[in-house]
Amino acid sequence: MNQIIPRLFLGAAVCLGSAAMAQKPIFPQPLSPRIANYDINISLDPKEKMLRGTETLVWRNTSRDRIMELQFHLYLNAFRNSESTFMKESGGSSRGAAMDAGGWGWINIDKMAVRGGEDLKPKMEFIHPDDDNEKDQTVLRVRLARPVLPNQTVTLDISFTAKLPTVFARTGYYDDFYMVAQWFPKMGVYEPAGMRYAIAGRWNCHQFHSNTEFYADYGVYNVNITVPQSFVVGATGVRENERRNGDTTKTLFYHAEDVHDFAWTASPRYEVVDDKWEHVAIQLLIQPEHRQHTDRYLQSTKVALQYFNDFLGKYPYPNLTVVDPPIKAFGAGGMEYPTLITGGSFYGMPEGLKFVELVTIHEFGHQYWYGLVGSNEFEEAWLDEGFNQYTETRIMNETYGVKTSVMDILGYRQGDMEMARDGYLSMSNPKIAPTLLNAWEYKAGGYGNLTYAKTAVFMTTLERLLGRPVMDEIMRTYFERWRFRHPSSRDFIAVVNEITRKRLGDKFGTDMNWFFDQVLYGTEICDYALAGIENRRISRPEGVFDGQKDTSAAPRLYEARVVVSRLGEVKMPVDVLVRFESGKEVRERWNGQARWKEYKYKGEERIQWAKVDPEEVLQIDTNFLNNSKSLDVSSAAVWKYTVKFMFWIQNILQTSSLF
Amino acid sequence: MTLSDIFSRSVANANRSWHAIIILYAGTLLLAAVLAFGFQSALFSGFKDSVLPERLLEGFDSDVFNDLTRANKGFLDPIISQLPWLLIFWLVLNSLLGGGIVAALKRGSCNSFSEFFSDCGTYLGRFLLLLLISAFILLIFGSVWMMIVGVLYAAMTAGSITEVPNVIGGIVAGAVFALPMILIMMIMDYARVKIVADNSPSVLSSTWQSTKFVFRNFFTALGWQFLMLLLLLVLAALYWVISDGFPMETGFGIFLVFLLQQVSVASRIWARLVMISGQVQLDESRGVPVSMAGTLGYIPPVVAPLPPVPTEPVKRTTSRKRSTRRRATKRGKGK
Repeated sequence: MNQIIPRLFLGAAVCLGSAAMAQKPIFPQPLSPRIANYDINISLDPKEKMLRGTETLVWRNTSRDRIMELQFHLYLNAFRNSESTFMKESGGSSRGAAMDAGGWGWINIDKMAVRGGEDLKPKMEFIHPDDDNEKDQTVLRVRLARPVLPNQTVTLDISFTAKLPTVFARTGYYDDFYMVAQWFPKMGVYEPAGMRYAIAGRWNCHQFHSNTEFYADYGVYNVNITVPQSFVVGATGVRENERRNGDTTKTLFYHAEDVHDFAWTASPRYEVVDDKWEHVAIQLLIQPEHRQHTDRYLQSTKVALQYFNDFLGKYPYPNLTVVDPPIKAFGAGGMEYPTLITGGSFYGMPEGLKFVELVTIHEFGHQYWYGLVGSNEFEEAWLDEGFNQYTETRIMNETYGVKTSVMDILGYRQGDMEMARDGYLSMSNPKIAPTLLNAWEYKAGGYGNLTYAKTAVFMTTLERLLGRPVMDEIMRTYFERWRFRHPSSRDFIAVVNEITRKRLGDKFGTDMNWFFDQVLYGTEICDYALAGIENRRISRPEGVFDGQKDTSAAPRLYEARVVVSRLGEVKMPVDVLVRFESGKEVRERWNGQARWKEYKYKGEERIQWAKVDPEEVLQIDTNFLNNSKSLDVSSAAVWKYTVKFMFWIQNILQTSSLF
Repeated sequence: MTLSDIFSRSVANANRSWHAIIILYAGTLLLAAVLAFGFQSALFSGFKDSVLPERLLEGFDSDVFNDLTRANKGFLDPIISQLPWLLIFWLVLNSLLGGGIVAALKRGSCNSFSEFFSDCGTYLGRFLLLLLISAFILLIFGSVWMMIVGVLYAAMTAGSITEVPNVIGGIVAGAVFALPMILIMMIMDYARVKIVADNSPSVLSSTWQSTKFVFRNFFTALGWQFLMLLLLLVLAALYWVISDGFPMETGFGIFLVFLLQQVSVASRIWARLVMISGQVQLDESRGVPVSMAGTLGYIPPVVAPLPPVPTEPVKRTTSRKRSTRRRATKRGKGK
């Protein structure tokens, strides 16, 4: 340790200030406002699991306000002790992984100063805008002696030291694997009046919570990473330079434009596989024990690139790094950073379990829903996680089969949309909270089910109500309009209303607010049911009347009746399909507003069956079983599973005979 | 006698023992049907008169299954809770039938159902005791062995940075755990054979004799066991291959697969009889020499085990004679 630290420092010092000179522009014109720009020199001490770095932050005031204070995220302090808000909320486990004993992580600011101006370190104070936890140190505020005026920039010189936690919540280390994310002092977002929900200018810089993810301004990153020479490194942006230092370290220079975060990974165990899709250089960093999944990673990455390209537009960056973390660091898996995603696999994972594909496609989707459209994951997670899950279900189902896209093993099958629907409906209380809620306010649970799964379900419902072409136009318009910006839920709904009205007129009313009021802001459930079918024979006079023909032989007359009902509080327009004995089908349209609706048919035919929402447009319906009734139910399916069940029991009995 | 000789004779014996096959098959069918009809009734009441289940004919449907379980929470619990009791009942029933099966296979045939059930009754008490002993040994030894294997597994995987040692270690640990269990089960199998062959009144003595037998003929006995395992795998593979060609999408298709399943179950039972028959023959051909008699609690059989002649238990012969006499008397009276 005593030997390596000075050498690492030496390497870092050599690189200091060299970042700016090496950069080559990626885009001829900026794609984003480039508000927060970082030049960082960082060195990793693998023995101590420490990061030591310097950061030059150039922040531009794009508002009309005089900015008197700056706010920063210090995410790594979430792992500082058991008293942080993150640790209190999570209990030391996140996304299925638990923190190792003593695996704390933290970040300290050693120096912070306005370039050529005041020393800000004495003015640093931790604030806790979301709760009253004074021990939380994940948000830092500094008051400035001189304000940052509109259209002016401020340049800060920062030195920091960080200790990585053992990885369980996205960032940290396991053995010689490092996933370095949420690792540097990072500016919050200043929202001027009119942006999102801001009435007056304000900082949007939330504490790090168990459920929350991230929100940041776009900018340019120049990052020098110094690591031992044996390490393979992957990072956000384009690697423009790699230099061996005069010791056992090397320094790699990464340049990224128009991104709002920077993450990197390092490990000597990575195998590197390079591939290409159109203009995108794909680099897969895979664990040797997972190399059997190489093609699965690469193919699914290309599938996602192609789909998003056709669906929303071009992926603008020249490269993408896909990281396969070791199984014992799976807390680092399934995450998204600009131009870098982490997947998830395990040794021997069967082809029928599409976990590699699902995670890769999902995380790639975040390049659009989070990366390019920079919604606020703290406050409106449905806009990225939900949209992304909705898009993921489309890609998975269209690529791997509607009924088999997640799993197809030994006769058990599940499609991605089915999984999303189950994720929402398997909640013990689906009414526990609305989908639009600050992510840290899901105190009684439901964050994942409601922001990911329920959103995917109601977005699919919306798609089926409006039709695929209209939905695609909505998503494309929203994407193009809000690319490299920070939209709110209201902005999305405005696009829905605009396109729906343009394409469908008044078909769904003056706007679609009624839809979002129920599924996004509301908590109620949707359940339409086929309440009953009745075929009543009508007796009519028989015999000869006034010289007419004898009517005794005339066919029988029936009054057939179908009753549909609304069991839930959510109201949606819905179709009812009635089938008569001859095979004739009648389709009715019900606005779904009343508690029930009766349809009567008088004629010579009886109803055979009837279905409410026959095409399952309303994926948000909590129970499809009660959507239909038949007077002639086929028992074949029941017999099929009875026979299967009996065979299983017979085999269990036979196996027990061995004893 | 080679394994192939044993196999061909065992197949012939099993084929002749169709009474036993029918009884065992009927047993599994009846017991499974009890649960299956409960299951069916639960499905009918869960689905009510919905059209949705028709989708299940095209294959497993997650939406249908999940909506069914959500709308009818715990509807299968009464069925599932019956399973342990069914298994216990089946094990007891097996102990009852075991005597008849082994005796029939030892004789090389089963002449009638009454003869079969008579043998069942003769050995029921001893077979039940053997079941309890084997359960006790499997439980105690299994627990201890599992702990040992667990420690070995932990040692194998300690410090591994990948999951590969865990996966391979798991498979190895499973095999290491299973082998002694197979050995214990083999010993219990041969103990059943010895109880019938020697008509030994002492279950412990028969178990001890079978233990010695298995260890003296370790590779032959183990080879036979694995050969039978192979036979079962072949039968299972045959079922999967053939049933794949019959989609269960129509009533007729379902019926065909049902028939195929029942043939598969019957073939499993047949394979089990082949296995027991092979064990009987191995015991006969390599049984404990008479010189062993008297040592370690060995009680010599009333009838010498070699050459293999059908053994008629004394009690049963007596009772039969009595009953014959009674019948004769009755007939006489009648006349």
